[in-house]
Amino acid sequence: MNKTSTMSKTSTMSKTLTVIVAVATLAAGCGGGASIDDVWARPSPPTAENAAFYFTATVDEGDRLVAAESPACGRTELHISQMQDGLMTMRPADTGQLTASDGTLVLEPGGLHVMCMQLVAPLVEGDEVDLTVTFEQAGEIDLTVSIEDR
Amino acid sequence: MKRLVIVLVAVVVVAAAGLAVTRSLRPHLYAGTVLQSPQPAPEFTLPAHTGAEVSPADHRGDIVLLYFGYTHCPDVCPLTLSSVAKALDQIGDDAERVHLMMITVDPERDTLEVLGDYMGHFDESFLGLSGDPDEIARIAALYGVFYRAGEGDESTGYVVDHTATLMAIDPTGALRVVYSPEIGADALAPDLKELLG
Ligand SMILES: [Cu+2]
Repeated sequence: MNKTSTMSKTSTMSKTLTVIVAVATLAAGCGGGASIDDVWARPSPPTAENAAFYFTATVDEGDRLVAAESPACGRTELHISQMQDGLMTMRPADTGQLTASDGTLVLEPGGLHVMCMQLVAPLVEGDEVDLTVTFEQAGEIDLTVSIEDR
Repeated sequence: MKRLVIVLVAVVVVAAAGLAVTRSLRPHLYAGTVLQSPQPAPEFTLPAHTGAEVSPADHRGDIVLLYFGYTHCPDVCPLTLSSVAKALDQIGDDAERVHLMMITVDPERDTLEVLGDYMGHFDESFLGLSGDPDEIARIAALYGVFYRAGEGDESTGYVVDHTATLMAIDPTGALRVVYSPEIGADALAPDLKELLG
């Protein structure tokens, strides 16, 4: 009897929470909402001078990644690796490539990445480093990059 | 009724046997591109970060995975090298018979010391090869590999566009399978097993 009532209370509470979260999400959506997941980087070789950060951003359709900054890097650029004439190339990404036309922007190995140059210290598996990204509409977003050997 | 049971059992036995035979006869489907008329892999000798002069012929009877890359490449090269390292973990003791050699396409910055540090980060067995830029260019051409250094400056460094395929030389010394740089460990491991026979 007691147990049942506790359970129903919990369930009501979680429903209420869900609603609050949904409302919060909607509110955020109005001002250019963004959620960024899967923020990671590989551990770097001890003397490596640069590294790459990856993440998946869900933003308003048409929003655009304009900058990234991290205390782990002397400087950063937004890059894309791609095959051109059979050669693997890496270049600063252009406006179109950084635009989430369908509301999703995926940074992953072999494609878009935050190029972290002049690494301050090697990235060690299990560690975390800070990263701040800026979207045209969603604005600045603080992230934590987890260093994982994937 | 009894006869029906015997017939059913017989059908099942025949079907199981047939399945086993087709399984063993079915050729292995490679995850990479298999070269239709495999040629002997072009020979070369280059200094490795271990201090030894190495050559693919040192490993006849084993597999040599040949890759052209450079250490200032933080995105694609680590993707391929870490897939190979994970594939080696998957195949257990057979990993001792797979030898990865990365020839640098950036001999100016990639000294043997830098290469040793970079390769060892992925797998202790990986070899980093460097040497005379003209000799590296000659070897790359033999393998149909091209590269060109782009612009850059002191602070940003420069990138090197390069053919990023991973090439497998089989135990007979023939260049057999070519992989895209994005081959994953799960796809590569069964191929390595098959190539080792
Ligand atoms: Cu890059």
